[in-house]
Amino acid sequence: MTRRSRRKHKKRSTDEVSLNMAAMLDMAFQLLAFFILTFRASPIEAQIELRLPDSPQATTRSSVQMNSSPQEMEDLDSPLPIDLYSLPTGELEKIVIGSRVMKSAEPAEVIQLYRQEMLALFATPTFDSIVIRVGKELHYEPLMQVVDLCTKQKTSDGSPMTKISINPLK
Amino acid sequence: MSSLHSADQCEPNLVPILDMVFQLITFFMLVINFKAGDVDKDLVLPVVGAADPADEGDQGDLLVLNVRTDGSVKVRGALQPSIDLFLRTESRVVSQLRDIKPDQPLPVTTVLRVDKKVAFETLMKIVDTCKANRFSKIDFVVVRKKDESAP
Repeated sequence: MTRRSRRKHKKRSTDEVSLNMAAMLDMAFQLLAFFILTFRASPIEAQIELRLPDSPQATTRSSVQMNSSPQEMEDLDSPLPIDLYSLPTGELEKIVIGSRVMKSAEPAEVIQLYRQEMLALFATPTFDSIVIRVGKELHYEPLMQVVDLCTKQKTSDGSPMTKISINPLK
Repeated sequence: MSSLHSADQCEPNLVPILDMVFQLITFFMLVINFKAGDVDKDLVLPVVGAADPADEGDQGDLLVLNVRTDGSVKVRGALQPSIDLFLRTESRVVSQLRDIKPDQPLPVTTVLRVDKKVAFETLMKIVDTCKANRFSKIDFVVVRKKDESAP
């Protein structure tokens, strides 16, 4: 009895153990197909931060106030007023910075003119805050393009522009 | 001789292909975004020069509001008939869970994904509703393109 079992054991140890890979590969391909089909590359998104009066102040990022109260407006130091006018369709009609008017039939050109004007204005920074007044029908995209450029400017002391107020145009 | 050949089993080595497939699966599992349910892919976001990259480190909880062109708001994949009612309920739930006093702002960042054609008036109403319900930290989501206007 013991001899037989020894013989059996010897025979087993010489056998090759082979796994059936086909089933595993089948499952792996199914998983792969699922992930490939559900994969959707999304565009790189970014964020512009808005700080409402009640929120904590400390932030290093540019922050924007919306619908400021008269008191908050008074607290802004040497503000640069920017008025955004819209067509009834919601497209940008013109931008007025102080007494300078940037107007064109093409909204993209208006933004381009605004960009040039801002570059000239902030070549030697003299403003510490920006007040943007917006026509109520204006689309969100031109507004964000204007706000985005404001957040990249510097104040008179060389620090990043963080005081930007957005209000409706009356 | 030929009968000996036909008796042999010809098995391809599946280990390298399995290895490669598992690497691909690992890649797709790592890049899959489980927050995609919060995001309305039908929205066309505005394209701007260079806003801050989306920073998910210090924002606390996120509440993503998708604002469509007609002013309707989609949250967690469902259209909300009344955004005021939704935010009021959400505010109450967060206050109770986190034990926050009624005069304190909520530790939640509201992420506004707004379609580029939404009117400013509509946006103002939504921001005011957020403010009224103590959601005072708001981030606007935009799509970045190459910076061409840096001063």
